[in-house]
Parts: sequence; C-alpha cells; structure tokens
Amino acid sequence: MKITHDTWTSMLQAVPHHNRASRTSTDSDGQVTVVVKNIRPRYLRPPLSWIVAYQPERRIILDPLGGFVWTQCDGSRPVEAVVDQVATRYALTFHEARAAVTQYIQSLVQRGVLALVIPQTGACPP
Amino acid sequence: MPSDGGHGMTALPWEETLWNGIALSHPADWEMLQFSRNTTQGRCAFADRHSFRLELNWRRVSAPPDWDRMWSDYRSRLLQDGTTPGDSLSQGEWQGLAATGTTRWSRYFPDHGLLLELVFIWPDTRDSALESNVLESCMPALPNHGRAFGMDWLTPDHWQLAKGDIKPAQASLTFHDPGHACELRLSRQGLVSVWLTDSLHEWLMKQIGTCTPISPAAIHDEAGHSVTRLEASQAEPMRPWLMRRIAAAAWICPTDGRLYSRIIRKTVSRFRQAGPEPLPLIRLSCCSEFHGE
Repeated sequence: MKITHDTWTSMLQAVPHHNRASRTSTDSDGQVTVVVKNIRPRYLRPPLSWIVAYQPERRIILDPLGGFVWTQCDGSRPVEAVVDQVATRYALTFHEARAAVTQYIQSLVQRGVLALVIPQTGACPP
Repeated sequence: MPSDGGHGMTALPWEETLWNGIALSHPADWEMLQFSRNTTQGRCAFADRHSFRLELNWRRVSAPPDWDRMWSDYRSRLLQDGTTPGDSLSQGEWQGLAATGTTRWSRYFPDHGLLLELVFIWPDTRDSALESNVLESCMPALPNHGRAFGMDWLTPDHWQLAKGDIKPAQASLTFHDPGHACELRLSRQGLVSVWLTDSLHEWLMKQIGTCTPISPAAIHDEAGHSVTRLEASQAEPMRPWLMRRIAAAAWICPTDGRLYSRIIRKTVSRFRQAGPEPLPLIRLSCCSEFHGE
C-alpha cells in the first residue's frame, strides 16, 4: 500500500485568526489592504540604519480571492468552513479550494497577519 | 460531470472517471489527487475531503498472475506491517482480501491483457454497497477516451498523454501523436472572473504565441456555449523548412463557468503543394449540454 494518510485534516480543523495588531482597510474598488507592524530588528542600528531605513509598518494588498479569504478568517470558523465558502463562491471543487486556501493562509501566516489555532484534541487521522 | 442513479443503496451523486483506458465510477466527492500517465503500469488515488479513499493500480501483462502467490505475498506484507489479514473476498471475477481499515481487490481482463487492482480505504466502517458499485464499474475502456478533471476528451488512436499539469482550478493535459508531428493541449481553468480581462480571442492568441492568423477568428454558438475558433500558422524554431498549423478553440461553459480550450499544433512542410493537411479529429466537451469542440 503506497497511500498514507495525508495530514490535511489537521489543517482543516485549525481556526485562522487575524493578527490583533493588524489594521484592515477596504477601498472603493473593494480591494482589501492589511497593515501590520514590523518588529525593529536588533541589528538595525546606526550606522546600518543610516543606510537601510526601518519600515514601522508593512502593507499587504490582497487580490479579490485573498480579500474574501481574509474576511472569512475572523476566528469564528475553521479552515474547512473557509474552504467550503470559497468553493461555493468561486464554483471550485473541495480540493481545488482547499489547495488554494491553505496555500494562501500559509502565506498570510508567514507574513505575520494571520495566526492558526490548532485544536489540541482534534481527531486527526493516524 | 456528476450523475445520479444506478448505484443502488448509495444515494450519493456519482461520477465516472476514464483514465488511461480504464473506466471507474465513484462518489462525486472523491477527487483524483494523484495520477500516472504511464499506460503500461501506473496508479491513481482518489480522496474525499478528509482522506484518501481509493487507489487504482493497473498493469498491462500478457498472462494472469499467480493468484495464490500474489495473495500469499500480500498477507505476508500485511503481517510484516503489523496488520492482521481478514477474510478472502470475491465478487464476480474480482478477488479480494480484507484487512484492518482497507480492502484490496484484483482482477485480470484477459481480452485486454490488463491487471487491475483496487485498494479501498475505510476511515470508519466498510461500505459494501459502495465497494460493490465501484468494483462493477471498474473495467477496461477505450484508450483514447478520457474523462477526468472536469474534461471529457476523445483523441485519435495511439496518442499519448505527454504531460499533465494539474493545479488548483487549472488543469492542462498535453498529448502527442506517435510521430510527434501533432501536439494537442486541452485545458480547463476556473476562477475566470478573477483573472480573465481579455476577450477569448485575445486570450487564445496569447496562449498560441506569435503567429499569423490564416482566417479571422469565428464565434460559433452551440447549446448556449459561445466558442471562439482560430486558425493560424507559426514558424517552427530552428527548422525553417517546416511550419506549424494551429487550430484553437476556447469557450466558457455556462454550466460551471470555467474556461475550456483546445489547441492543436501540427508540424507540416512549408513546401507542401496539395493544400493544407487535415487536422486530426479531436473532441473536448465540458458538460452534457455541449457535445464538444
């Protein structure tokens, strides 16, 4: 048997939350922009900081799909429900939406605007 | 193209997949997440939303396997893995073996020299009715007829699937004829409202690349599908005595809202006197309302 149980179930059970320190704005075209504070790196001191400017904030502009995912990731529903919402809205199959949403969520987590809470007692498959 | 009915106790919508000359029906929410292009020996795996559910293995062999030895080897492997083999099973020509959480079935089709193996994975309890329906449906099919990733296609005989590029909402399959003079690219793309800003004609021209249109693009309406067709010629890189003849078509299916396209590239001699060679007969369809382009 070559198939092994994949670990996507644990990702589906995780609940995405916005970074509380982030600010969200939506312009007249519906484009969502998320602003999050940057931590000043320890090494960014004079004389290096005279050359490399410290950016106190980072702006992340989301495309329409990303904006929709962002609004769904408000801490009230697990990733699986977000996937279902995206699949319904964009007429995708579950796994198409899963791949797109989980990839997107991972990129938002890496950028520090989203956090994933993974249930401790989740019934993950072996 | 999900369908319903004909599957007895399991009242789920079902779907038929045709892949590499093998037909298989399964619940519509089982999606093919892994696949082989090799027609001689390969595998596909289907998953529902939470886990893999079915593995299909195939092998073209000239004689049936030594069943006793095959099942004995499988029992030994299960024991080595710490799994207790269960009862032997049979359904028609299918022979099987139950084990904890899985059932494995095998059948040889002598007329096609094809050995098929199905491995079901049961995360909860075994569904015998579902299993029986899948087994009944699994059989050799026309090798040039495929149905997967939301597309239904028919290619000339002996064409090979050279490349399968499957991404979320973006499936593309490339076929070659045996002499590699013809290339066919079929694609199906979702999220069209998000990324398509051009007309279908402009989008097709971008897909083809630099080319000289042979005739103006034509739009043909059939069963609510507005198909943009384009014929063009293209220079063959490094071989100036050859050129490519291109026939392309694209449409957005009103049923699923996806963009389907079919691009045929045929390499021909520039000096051919007898007029353009006919392009091969190929069909791509998207839904039951539209019989294909």
